[in-house]
Amino acid sequence: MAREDGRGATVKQRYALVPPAAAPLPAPPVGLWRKFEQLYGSADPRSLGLFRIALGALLAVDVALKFSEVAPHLSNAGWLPNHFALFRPMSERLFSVYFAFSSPLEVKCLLSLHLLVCVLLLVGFRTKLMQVLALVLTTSLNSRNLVIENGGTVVLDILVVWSAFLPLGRRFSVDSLAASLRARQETTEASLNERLDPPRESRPIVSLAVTALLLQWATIYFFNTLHKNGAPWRDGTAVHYFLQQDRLVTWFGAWLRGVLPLGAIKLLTFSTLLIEGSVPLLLLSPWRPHVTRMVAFGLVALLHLSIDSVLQLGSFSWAMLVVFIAFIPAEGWARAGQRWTRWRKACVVHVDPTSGASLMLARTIKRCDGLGLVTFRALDEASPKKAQKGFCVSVAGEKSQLGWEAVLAVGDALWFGRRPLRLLAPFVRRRVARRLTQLVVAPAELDLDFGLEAVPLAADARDAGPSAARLSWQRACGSLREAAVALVLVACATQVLIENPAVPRSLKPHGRPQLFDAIITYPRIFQGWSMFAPAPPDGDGRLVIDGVTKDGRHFDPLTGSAPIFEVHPVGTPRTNLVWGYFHTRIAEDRFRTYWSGVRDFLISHHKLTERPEDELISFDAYYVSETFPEPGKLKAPPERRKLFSNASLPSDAPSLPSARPKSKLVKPRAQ
Amino acid sequence: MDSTDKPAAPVPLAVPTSTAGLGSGLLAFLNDRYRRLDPRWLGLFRICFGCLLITELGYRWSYARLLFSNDGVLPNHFSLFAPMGQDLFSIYHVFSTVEEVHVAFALTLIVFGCFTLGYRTRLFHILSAILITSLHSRNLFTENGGSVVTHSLATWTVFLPLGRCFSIDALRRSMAAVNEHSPVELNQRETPTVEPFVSVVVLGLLLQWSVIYFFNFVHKDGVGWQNHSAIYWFLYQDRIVTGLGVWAREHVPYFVFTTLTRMTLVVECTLSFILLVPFWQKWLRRLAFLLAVGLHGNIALLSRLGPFSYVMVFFFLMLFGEEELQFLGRWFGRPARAVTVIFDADCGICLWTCRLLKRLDPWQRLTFVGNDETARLPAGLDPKVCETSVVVVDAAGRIFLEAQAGRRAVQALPFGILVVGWLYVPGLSLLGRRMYRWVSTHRLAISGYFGLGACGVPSAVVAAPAKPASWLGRTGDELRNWRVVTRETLALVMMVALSTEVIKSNPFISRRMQLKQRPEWMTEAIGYTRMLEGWGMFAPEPPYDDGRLVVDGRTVDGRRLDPFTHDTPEFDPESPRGWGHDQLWCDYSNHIRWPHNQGRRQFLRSYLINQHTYLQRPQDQLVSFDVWWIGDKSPPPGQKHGQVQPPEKLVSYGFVKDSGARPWLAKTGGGRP
Repeated sequence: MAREDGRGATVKQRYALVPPAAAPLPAPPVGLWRKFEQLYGSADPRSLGLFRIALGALLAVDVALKFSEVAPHLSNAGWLPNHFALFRPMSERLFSVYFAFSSPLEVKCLLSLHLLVCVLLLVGFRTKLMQVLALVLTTSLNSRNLVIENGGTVVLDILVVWSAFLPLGRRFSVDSLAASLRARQETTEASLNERLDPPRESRPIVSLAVTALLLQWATIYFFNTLHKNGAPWRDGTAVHYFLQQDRLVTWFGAWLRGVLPLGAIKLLTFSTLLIEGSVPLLLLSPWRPHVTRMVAFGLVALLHLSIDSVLQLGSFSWAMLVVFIAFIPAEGWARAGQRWTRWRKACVVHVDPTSGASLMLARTIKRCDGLGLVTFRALDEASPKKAQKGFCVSVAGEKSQLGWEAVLAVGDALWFGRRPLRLLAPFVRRRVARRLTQLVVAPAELDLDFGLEAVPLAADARDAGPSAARLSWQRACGSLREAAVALVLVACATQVLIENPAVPRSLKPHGRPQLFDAIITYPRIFQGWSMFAPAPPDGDGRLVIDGVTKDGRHFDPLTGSAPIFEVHPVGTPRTNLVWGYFHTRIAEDRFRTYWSGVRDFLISHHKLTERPEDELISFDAYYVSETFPEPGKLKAPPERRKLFSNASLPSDAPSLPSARPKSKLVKPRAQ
Repeated sequence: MDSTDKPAAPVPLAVPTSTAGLGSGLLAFLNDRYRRLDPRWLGLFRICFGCLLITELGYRWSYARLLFSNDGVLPNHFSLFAPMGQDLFSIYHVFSTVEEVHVAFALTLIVFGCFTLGYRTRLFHILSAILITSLHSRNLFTENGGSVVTHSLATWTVFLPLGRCFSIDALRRSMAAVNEHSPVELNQRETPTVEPFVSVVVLGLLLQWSVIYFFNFVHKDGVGWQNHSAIYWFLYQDRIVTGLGVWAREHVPYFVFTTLTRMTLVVECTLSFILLVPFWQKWLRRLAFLLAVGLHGNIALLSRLGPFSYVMVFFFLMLFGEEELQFLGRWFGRPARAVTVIFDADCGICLWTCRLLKRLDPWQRLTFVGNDETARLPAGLDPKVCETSVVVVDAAGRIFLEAQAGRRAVQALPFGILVVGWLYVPGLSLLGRRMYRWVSTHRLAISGYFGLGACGVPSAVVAAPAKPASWLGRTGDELRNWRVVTRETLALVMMVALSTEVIKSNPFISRRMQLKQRPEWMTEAIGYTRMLEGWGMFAPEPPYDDGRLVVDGRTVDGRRLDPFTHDTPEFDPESPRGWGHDQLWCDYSNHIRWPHNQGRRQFLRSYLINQHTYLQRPQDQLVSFDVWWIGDKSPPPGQKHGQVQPPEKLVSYGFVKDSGARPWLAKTGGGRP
């Protein structure tokens, strides 16, 4: 009986859970400077890791959405060929890698590479390199065609510039996983259950770039509030005008503008001002910042998600929102961890310490186990019988799962749960289950398959820590980085003073180094913040082409149907943001130079659509515009203004540099 | 000490043994003859080719403004608006201002440098191939056979493992694989066998070089080549001739030129097939190398044709094998170069340095002795000296201490003198001695600083982590097999695409064989990579005439000025010393004169109008100028002067008073200026 009791105790011990271990909290800062540093210059590495994931996803979506815009707006098949964009640059110091790519296929190849960079940034593979590449490629993409540049692209540029200085790969990344696997090669049950060894990065990251991000966002909201001093913002009707913009409004916004009473409009207008005005204060508040910043996060989420539901502003709303993830304080993570732990189920993973694959799997699970709910037990005679058949996991000390079910049980103990695994199941389940059976049935084969035969021999080896030389090098690089941040920060500060009308004239700098101009202009991180300010636009417009095809039809290539001189003809699909900006801006005088490109684009549009019957033999381009009615009043009929025709351009719209040389495509021989 | 008496045999290549059967025997034979390369020679080729890329970049850097920026003669927008080639792609089109071009070139230099040193070789090789092609494609005025050969070779060799030997990558792999802790381990030189590289890419390269020589030979069927006067005419190209060429054309008898012409034809003909002969390959390839050195060496001495001659020769390095390494070993591994290095066995940085020296010493000329091994110290050497300094004893028994010891040890390595040669310079040697003493005094602290252990204490590594046999085991092997299959397929596809280009671009074959059409992607692939295959250097005829650009400018202060020579305009097309033009200027000036480039001359005009601002010489501002092409027919053998051609005006700005071309126009009956 005693023997049975002893065995029972052993068996019980097999299922006993190792309690989660909390990482020690960093010591509270001592001294005024340290407190200031913690308040405005530090970020939690987990927050930065999550921020990286969100940023990578945002950039990836932004790039993916550009694929459909390649032909008309980003390649030589469109209205702004690279040579003309370089010949008549829309801005000083215009730089874009995309200028080297001419045909739509070439541009799509580069976009695919760009997308890959964003995905690698998202997963945190060679994070620093990907940050730099994302910076170059994103600013390049946004500089390729400045007619479609908007607040969203500028905010995105700013985001990639500042984030390039931050170590975003310290947590939740492939890099951190690989570093952790190198740091300690656990081979025993005890070492696998040491939750804090190797330690996870939890010390706050101190950098001037964090300060810069805080100041940048406070500045954006501050000036956006300050500049909203036009009559519609004062009398509370701004949201009414805001919703009248047919080129930007979503179907929900279009519905809403018809049903919202004036009182609700005023409430929304003043709420917007209140939220925008409070965000800088909440972000920079020295009093309980961990609370005020989360409140700011909540308010901003409410504001921008509301805006995004009624108006398409591209990446603007999301970019504005994403940055707040970087400001999540350590307390927020601790609280989320406690809450999360309650929703998850602890489990015991049975590990074969003689199998490299088994150990590797356990080590990987250990590193994903942020909540500390997974306990590892070495296989022995007291292990559940199912463990003899394959990968086995015990839940709640009684029920043991095998194979794919065991994987799901592990998922239940991890922070992400079993849902992502279920999504993957149709693609990987059978293959993973086969390998998990092999883990016990033929571990040596599995080790050979993945080159893991030496893992059990590692004897709990540890990586030697960084040498003093490496630490010095890192310190030197860190100092250089901070100096660079300081330089960009000063350049941005001068730009804020120059660009924003609310800044008193006496504070505006009179002349500054060319270097500052270059720092601002190349990545296009401009600092004039007046979204829908001083008043929201009071009108809207669209380019209408009155073309005649070879077979005598009237045809507008931009809509693919007969021309309708309405800003938003009833029943036609809404244009997207890129086309929306094209329609309103191309009619502006400052873009008159580029009308020749639009004309060429319209002339050859039928080639792009591969519809020869739509070839235009003549056309006139009109800008059709309307003024929004005041609340409760009727819309005035739209006005039209002729811009150009296929036969004539305005006299100040220049032609291309010169006639092409006769034999432009001479293909020389190698000699 | 005995081990250093005679040169050690180089590590033999592990040649795959042929399996039984006629088919497999034949396959092994063909593999051996046409698909195999020695990675050690590939490493040496990488270093030479990388240096050439750096030189090529440096040379073009000096023309950053004129040829590569929007200030110059071909702005990026016009190059894209009216591309000079089909499917033209250059990343340098992105850079507009000269400052941007400088930044781009600096980044390119880093890429080429990493490739040359073999740091992350594959990545930097791919980048180098893209960048050198882009560099050449940015301004096709300056494209010539040399640039085509350079970027073609850069692209072909992307498939080869150029970083397996003599590279930082190889060094890091070796340091990670074997961690010596004592002099005994340092003296163990069992290096792993070097696997030969076997691929169809090798056949592609052999065919590529044979094609170049073959068509260069068969297209030389003009009168100048038939009467063997071609080299004579070649030397009368004042644009490209060097000082030696000028001397030769004036002092060497004519029959030497006819002999050289015959020899050129014979050598090109020989080189067109010799690489493909399956027998006596060892000797035939050596012969090919010597012939190529003779041919291209002479061309490089007599003319400026850019990188052509050097690239053509560097290729042959890849074909060498073990015997040639042994031949090098006769020099680098001769007994007189052997030295014994006595170092502080307790010092981490000293041990690490010895580990590094061991890996840089392929002929094993260094023997390592710890200062605690008193029994192994050479007779007459005070052991106390070894406590305070590294000691090197050479084959003659001479003892070197401190910085001199370091210098002598490095000198024993192949090309080590290039690294430590500065220590022979008076003054600098003093600096070297000071540096050594500082390092020697602080060596224990330095060792600790770099985590290398000191005072007999092992480094901080607690237990060396176990290394898997190969990355991802059998799964990794499968991936590697797929990689090989992909590589071979790509190489075969490339060979097919290039063969169509050979058929289309060479009159010798296109006269006989018509290729009516080919898939569009092949045209695009060749356009993007600029791997053109029309080979006819100085064919069918050598050039019989010559010329150059002359700017007849008037400055604000009334002077006559040619901004390209910074002198008064010189209209005489003959020059007793040659014009000293380099390849880039030669190619530009030679191409801009052709009528099809008339549309591009506007930028030459703009450049000349603004050149004083670029050079910051306001006094050289031109108020008017004419750009002339002046030329002459080269003098026939036996005559001293050629026939001057009427000057041809290319570009004009303002009214040029008293044009310098007037007397030459009058002389040649060319009309009014």
